Amino acid sequence: MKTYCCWILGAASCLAGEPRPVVPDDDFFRLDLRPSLELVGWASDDPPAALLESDDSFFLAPVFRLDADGAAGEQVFFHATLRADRGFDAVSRESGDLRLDEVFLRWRVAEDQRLNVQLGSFPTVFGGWVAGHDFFDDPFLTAPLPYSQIVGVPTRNPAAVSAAAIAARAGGTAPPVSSLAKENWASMIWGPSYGTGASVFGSTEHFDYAAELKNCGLSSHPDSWQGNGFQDPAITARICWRPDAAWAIGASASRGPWLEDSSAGADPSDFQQQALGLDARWAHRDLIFTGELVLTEFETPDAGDLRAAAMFVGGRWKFSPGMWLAARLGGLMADEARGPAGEAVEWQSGVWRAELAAGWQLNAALLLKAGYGFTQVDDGGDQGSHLLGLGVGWRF
Amino acid sequence: MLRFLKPLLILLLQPVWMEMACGQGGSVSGVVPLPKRPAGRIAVEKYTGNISGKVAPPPPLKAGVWLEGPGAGSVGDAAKVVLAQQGYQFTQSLIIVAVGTRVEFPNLDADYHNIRSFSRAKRFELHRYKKDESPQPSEVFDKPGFVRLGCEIHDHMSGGILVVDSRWRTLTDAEGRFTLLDVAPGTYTLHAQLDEKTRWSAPVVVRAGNPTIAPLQAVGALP
Repeated sequence: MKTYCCWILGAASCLAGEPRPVVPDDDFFRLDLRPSLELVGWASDDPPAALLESDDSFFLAPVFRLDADGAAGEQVFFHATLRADRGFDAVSRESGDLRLDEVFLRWRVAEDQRLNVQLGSFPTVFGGWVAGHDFFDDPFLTAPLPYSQIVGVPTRNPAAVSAAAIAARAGGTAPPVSSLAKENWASMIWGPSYGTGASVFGSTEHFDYAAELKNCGLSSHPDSWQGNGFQDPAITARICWRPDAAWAIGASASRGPWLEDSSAGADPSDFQQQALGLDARWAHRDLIFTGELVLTEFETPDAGDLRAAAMFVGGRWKFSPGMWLAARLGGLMADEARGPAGEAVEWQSGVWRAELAAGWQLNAALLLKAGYGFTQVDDGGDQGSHLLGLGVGWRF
Repeated sequence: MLRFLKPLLILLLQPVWMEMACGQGGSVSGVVPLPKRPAGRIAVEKYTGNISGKVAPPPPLKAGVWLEGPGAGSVGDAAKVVLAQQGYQFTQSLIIVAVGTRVEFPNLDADYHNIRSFSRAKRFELHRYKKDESPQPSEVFDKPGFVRLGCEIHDHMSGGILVVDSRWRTLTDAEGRFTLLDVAPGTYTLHAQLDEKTRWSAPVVVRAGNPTIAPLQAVGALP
């Protein structure tokens, strides 16, 4: 066994990736390229939990990724992430997809981090999870519950959020949300929410702040991130207090449209999502604990505001160089909507999810990850769903 | 009587004699052809929250230089060596230490660092530690080789530790110049190394009192 491990480590060491500078010996312009491959094999109940969209019990989600970092002097930066995969939400586009998920230009106004201005497509500033969501940074294979749980808000069909339609779903005459195509529904926050727009952000020794104006709301599907116009922008802000290196305590707020621009016969500005978030992180030595609470409400024409709260707490323990175990527990609860006769109706079932993960970083280039998740939806008949994933990431 | 005193005198005077002999050693000097630009990633944080101050420019590249040959083995160098992090960079791009040296890694920044290495010569991870922690996080480097250092939190940080079994070792300056002093006369192989893949070597003959200029030649990548 030890011999095999040595072979694996040796081969991986030979292939260990270094950034590739493509502008040689220039003091002003620099461009570094870093290609990588991520491959995750999933085994799941049907339908799979989180933002996975396959109909199969076993499926593969390969991602080829090219990160480009550029700099012009000390204060202007550029970043782009190109992904070739089977859809942002694996495997929503089985035949393949090529996207520029992140592409932004940043001006660092001061010499330190106090003031930055950024334009382009980039992750939302809401919450604390997004800053560590990359495959090589996140100990888990899926996003936490508030960032990956479909809720009963139909982003492409405003008629389906009427009081009558919600009452029909609650009464069992319409199919439950969990059995419908995920791309037609909202998540409270859709993954890292790579919308397009502008942001202003900065850091001092004890505080971070950020504000962004983007073309879509937090709950918007990936098709909206670069497809939406700016007729109904979303605004999001976050402030974070770091009393010392161990603690980070943040608060976020956002307001933006949840109805996609492509929806016919409705004005997205009449369908706003508002969200408040609290996040905390404590880290020291080999331990990191994180937790977030997200409160949100979706405006509807006649069913009142659809309110929900979601949270997660999790921890990662590194027990050996490059090796870790992690666990996370999440929950989502929803308030009731107003039915056609003014009665209270359930628009969203409660959801609970427990996750375990393990990782082994063999070297700077090669990372193995495994994750298991159990999701329970409180809709009466569901016995819960299991999701198992094994992944490898290789920077070459 | 004199027959018994002679070995005793030799034993007592041996350190003095050795010191004088070393004082009559030669020197080896030369220039390592360092590349112009620092390696490593552009020092920009893709997402916020891990850098709250000013990022310093990376330290200048330097190569480690050492002699290999009969009698060149390191001699119980128990001194601690310090490699700090300041301005979200290592304060030196490379240090060269003898086998068995303990290296301390003090954090002089306001945010966490987690220095780690996946190198075969030393695989370790210090875990997150903050400014002014006591005792300082440290590691003993007990195997010769090149140890690539990185920070789990700050992807652009890159440093190295060259662990050698040699009493005659030094670093170049930023222009690649070096001098090894007080080298015992003899025949050696001079090595210079910049990173995992870039190294040079040359045979040198050191004569007492005479400076030796070493014509270094590049050698292939390390296995």
